[in-house]
Amino acid sequence: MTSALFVFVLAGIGTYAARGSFILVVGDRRLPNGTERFLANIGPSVLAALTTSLLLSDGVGVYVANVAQVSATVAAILVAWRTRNFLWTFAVGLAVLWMVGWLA
Amino acid sequence: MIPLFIGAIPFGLVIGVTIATTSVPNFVGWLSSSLIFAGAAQLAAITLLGAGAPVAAALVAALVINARHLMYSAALVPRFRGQPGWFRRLAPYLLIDQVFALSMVRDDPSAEWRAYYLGAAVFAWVNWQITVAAGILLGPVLPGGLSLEFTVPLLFIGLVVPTLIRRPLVVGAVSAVAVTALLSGLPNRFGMLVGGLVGALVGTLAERFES
Repeated sequence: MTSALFVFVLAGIGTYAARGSFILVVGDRRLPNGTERFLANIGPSVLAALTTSLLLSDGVGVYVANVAQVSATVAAILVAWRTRNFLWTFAVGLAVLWMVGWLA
Repeated sequence: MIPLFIGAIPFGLVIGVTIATTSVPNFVGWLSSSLIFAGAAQLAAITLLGAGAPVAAALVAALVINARHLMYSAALVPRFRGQPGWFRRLAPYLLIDQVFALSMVRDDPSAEWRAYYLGAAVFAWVNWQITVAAGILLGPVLPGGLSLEFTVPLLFIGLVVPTLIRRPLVVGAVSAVAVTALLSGLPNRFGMLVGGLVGALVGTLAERFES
């Protein structure tokens, strides 16, 4: 089916353009102070938005639909805040997910 | 870094199974993993094509889902300063969610950061090609129930929370979460785009307000 291949090639080019956009166009240039500050804020903000979207959106994301997933999410946020260590966050979150899922 | 990619395994398998069960030929479907290399966009395009949707609809869905990469690109501009040209041209091809999350939170000197980025990205790429192929071949006989796909949001929590070291960043991230949650009913992760931008804007304003 050549139409599928056609879609994948064009989507691939579009995706590369989006991923490369600022990296390739801005390059080494310094940007105005306000813009630089805005860029520094994009990272954490987008990561927070992506995590929320993964937890809530249907289709391609994961539904936070049951008590195990809600408990795991809350536990992970608390552990991440206290320890600032992402392996601990992961381990505790997964342990809570499985334990509560098994008990419920 | 490896646990982050374990979470991608069930996702890759799901895409493989979807390819195997739709009218999209297996090999062409598998090629989407190297041509697009973005799980959500691949899944949307394959599902729409398999359901007989117009080519334009499948393409638009994939591109809208991947519009978030514009923000990753913007956020990484400072890290790419002083990097060699070959790396700047290659790196965007590999810039998936996990690679963005891992590399954004690191503040290494230029050469080490490049090595870290490439290590994570190449590992993710190989992992993805194999997993999607495995899904096509083995999908129908795999057991469910381990909820391994939930490891991805868990690890993202572990990556983003420790970056919130100043109050304006916390304010920005909380705004991003709130707006994304409010708009989570919108299709194609549109809410995430708005949430990410609003959060960054609020964070920047909070910083100005505080100083």
